[in-house]
Amino acid sequence: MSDATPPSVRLRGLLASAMIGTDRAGSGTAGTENVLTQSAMLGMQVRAGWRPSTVSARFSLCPADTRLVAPPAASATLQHLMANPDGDLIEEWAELANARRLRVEDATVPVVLDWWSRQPHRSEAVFAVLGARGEWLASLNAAWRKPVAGSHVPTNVDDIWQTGTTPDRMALLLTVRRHDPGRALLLIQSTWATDGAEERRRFLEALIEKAWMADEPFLEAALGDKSKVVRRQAARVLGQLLGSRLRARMTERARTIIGVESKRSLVRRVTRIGLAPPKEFVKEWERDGIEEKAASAEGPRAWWMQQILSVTDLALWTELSGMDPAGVVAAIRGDDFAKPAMTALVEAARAEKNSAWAIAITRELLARKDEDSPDLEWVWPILAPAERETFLIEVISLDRYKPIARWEVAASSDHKWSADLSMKVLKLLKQRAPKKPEDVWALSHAIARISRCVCPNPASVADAFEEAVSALFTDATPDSFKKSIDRVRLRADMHKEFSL
Amino acid sequence: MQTWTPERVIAIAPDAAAAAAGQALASAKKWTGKGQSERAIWGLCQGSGKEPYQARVDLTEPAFKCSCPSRKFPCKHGLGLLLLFAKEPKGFVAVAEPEWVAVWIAGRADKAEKKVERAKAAVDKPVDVEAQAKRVAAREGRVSDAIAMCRVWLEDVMRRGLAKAQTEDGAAWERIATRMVDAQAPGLAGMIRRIPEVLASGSGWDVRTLDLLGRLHLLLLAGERIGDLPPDLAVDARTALGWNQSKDDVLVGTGVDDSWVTMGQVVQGEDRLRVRRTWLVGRKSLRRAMMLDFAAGSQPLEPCVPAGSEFEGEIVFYPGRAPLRGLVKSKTSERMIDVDLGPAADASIEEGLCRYAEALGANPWLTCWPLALANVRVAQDGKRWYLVDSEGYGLPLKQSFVDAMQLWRLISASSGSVLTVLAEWDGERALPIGAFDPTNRVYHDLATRWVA
Repeated sequence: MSDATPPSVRLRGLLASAMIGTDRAGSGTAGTENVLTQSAMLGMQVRAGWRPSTVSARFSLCPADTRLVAPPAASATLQHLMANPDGDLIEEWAELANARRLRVEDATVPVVLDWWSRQPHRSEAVFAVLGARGEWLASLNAAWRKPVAGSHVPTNVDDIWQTGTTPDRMALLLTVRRHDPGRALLLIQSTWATDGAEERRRFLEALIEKAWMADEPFLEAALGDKSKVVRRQAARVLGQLLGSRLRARMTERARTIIGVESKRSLVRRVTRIGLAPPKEFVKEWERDGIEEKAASAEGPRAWWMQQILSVTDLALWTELSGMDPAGVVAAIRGDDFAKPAMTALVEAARAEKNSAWAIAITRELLARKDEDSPDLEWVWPILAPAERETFLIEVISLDRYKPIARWEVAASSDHKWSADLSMKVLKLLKQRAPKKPEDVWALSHAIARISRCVCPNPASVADAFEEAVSALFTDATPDSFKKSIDRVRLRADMHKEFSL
Repeated sequence: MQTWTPERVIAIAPDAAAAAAGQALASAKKWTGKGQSERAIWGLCQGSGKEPYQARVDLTEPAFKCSCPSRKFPCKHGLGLLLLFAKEPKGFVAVAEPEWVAVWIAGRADKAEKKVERAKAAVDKPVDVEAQAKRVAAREGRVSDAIAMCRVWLEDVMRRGLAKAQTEDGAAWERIATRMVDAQAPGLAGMIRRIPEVLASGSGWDVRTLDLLGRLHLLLLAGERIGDLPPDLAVDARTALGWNQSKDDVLVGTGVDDSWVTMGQVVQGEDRLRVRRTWLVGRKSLRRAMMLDFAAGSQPLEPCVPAGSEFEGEIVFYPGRAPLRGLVKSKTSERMIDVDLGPAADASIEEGLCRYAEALGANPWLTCWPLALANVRVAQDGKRWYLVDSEGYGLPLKQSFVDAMQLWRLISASSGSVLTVLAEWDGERALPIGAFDPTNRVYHDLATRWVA
């Protein structure tokens, strides 16, 4: 090779003998030394003479963000959170920043975006705090593009709908549904005739969020679908849709079940409700999603009744008995079918999001001391904030609980508590905490959840939390509880950092 | 004693996560029993254990000690305490040192005194020239034995071929590297330890391995005839072989007075040994300087010039043909950085590479060179990522940087526009260490691994 050959090519040329070894290349000791010397020389030449190539690719500029950067202490806390990600706290940080129109430090945006994009449930608050910079970065990185796209309705909705995979279509449907419920229905209808049964079922399932009367005719028609899973799903959605014809039919059926008898005792009128479940299964019920075969150990009659009452308008009970919700649940008490009826009422109250009924039903369920504590998670979202707080204190102040149950109930309210409620709960925790060590240990999960609910502002709540939790133990607080204390402290610090 | 600022404390943190954890602990609420004396601060921090952790900081060094079990050093408690002290010194009452502080401080003072005594004794004692010469001769003997051994081994590798070398198991390279360390030639050991990495580096591994072996050969050649080399080249060869020069000897020399800009800092290595490189650029002299600090095991890295600052002072360079490593001899004033480096920056990639080529020509064992590139942007071309200058030329970025969140931090900091970037150039790939944006915001620890 001549000296005009570039050194990089000449270095490559040495590989032939270097790869198989100078022994097999037959170059001997002098040859070995020569290969090494040549490599040293050429390697040096390559490095010294390395020339950059031209790169014309260019990014778009990041759009300006007029929000100010969060204060340094808050930014440091976010970095700390990103080193040990805790979804709730990151979301809380984002909410605090959003409320003050502050943004994330530029160099931290990709770290948060990357974490966010890998979450199964992606918080809108976190995405919002990343702002235009987050969207800009996502446009440059394929791994982030898709999750971010899920936050916007794309421009080529119809293309994706017609050619996408089922998960892509589902994601698209949910996005469209959030922004434009009517358009989501049109999408489903546009390919309804050719989509498979399982796809159709999943599409209907997506309608349950934001179901409205515009969906009703389509859903009613779907009750006659050739696939059973689709029919069932349509019935489920219609059952949740107030004003649907399915609910009207169910309410009519319930009229024959709910019987009211009034007796005059010595002092007052007593109204009792007698439940008369259907004696026979009516074939046409099937179309409305009522199952003939009982799913539980209760008899088939109780099962049919429960299914009907679950989608019956609550107003019917009031209309027939002339009583308020508390009166109705009291009047059912003692009936042979009270238990399935109460189960149905829970479902009905959930569907109607009726807080008066929810409270009355919960009080009745909790009044049965013989039973385990009922699951109350469903109640809290139905109640308005002030109502929720009053009711939570009422419920956990009862005496009925086994040692840990009270705190599990308190923790079942996943909302952010007011300072007032937080202090009340913590006071109660000090007074009525379980005593037996094994019970105390079993509290760890509930305490962890409570640490996410209590109000971190003012900081005195954090002090009260630490005090109440430390008081559970005579000696050192164990790690799992310590973590909860740290979490509340961190939240309190975070709030303070933002108000500086 | 210097005043402590949060930035200075952060500069001591072993990594970004520890710094963030320290910041989270820098709140008065986390601490009880805070106090300070003339040379120390201390406090109690309730950790997960029964007893609160006792954190204490000797402000003169600073040195840290904490009763927590963390293997990071300094731990978040020490950092948090010192950060809190930097923010709210008034929160620390001046009282008598509690016993657990006093004992530690006394122990440290004792050690320091003994060290001074030893140093004094060493000075007082007439240097036993003969014994010293004997020691040096003994090491030189060992090193030249090592060179001979390495030569035989290297030729053996070449005779059997690179294809065979690639099938060799990792322990074989480590064995020979350990023998080089034992023979006091750690520079050779370092090069040998890179061989298995390069063999496994994917496409192009063959040329890279051949190149590395060539460099090793060049170093062996120099070692074999060190007496015949020009004295300054011999110094570079000895440094590459692993001879150290004591800091005290270096500090005796005359340095370069300038306005020094700290452009970036990177801490590498884990458990056994952490290495910190801090890169500086002199405004008037246009010189580049590197501060190299080591910390073994639980030792803290000594605080050095805070990254993102600029100071007037004198830096003395270790001798060599293209001096790069330096020590701060004196420092008069310190201020926030002004990102406009003027002519001290490399105006283009071309200019930076010229500086590199010149330095490489002077010291062929140079492994990495700082490019201080003004007005570069990040760009992607195909699968490769580049730093691109205003002339449109691109430097490829190191894959480890591209694979980490660091690349995206840099892109985000750039907003798609240009930055001033300090990158380490190894002749093939660039590793960004620090960046400034036009509004003077400084990202000084881009390459340090972001724990997420």
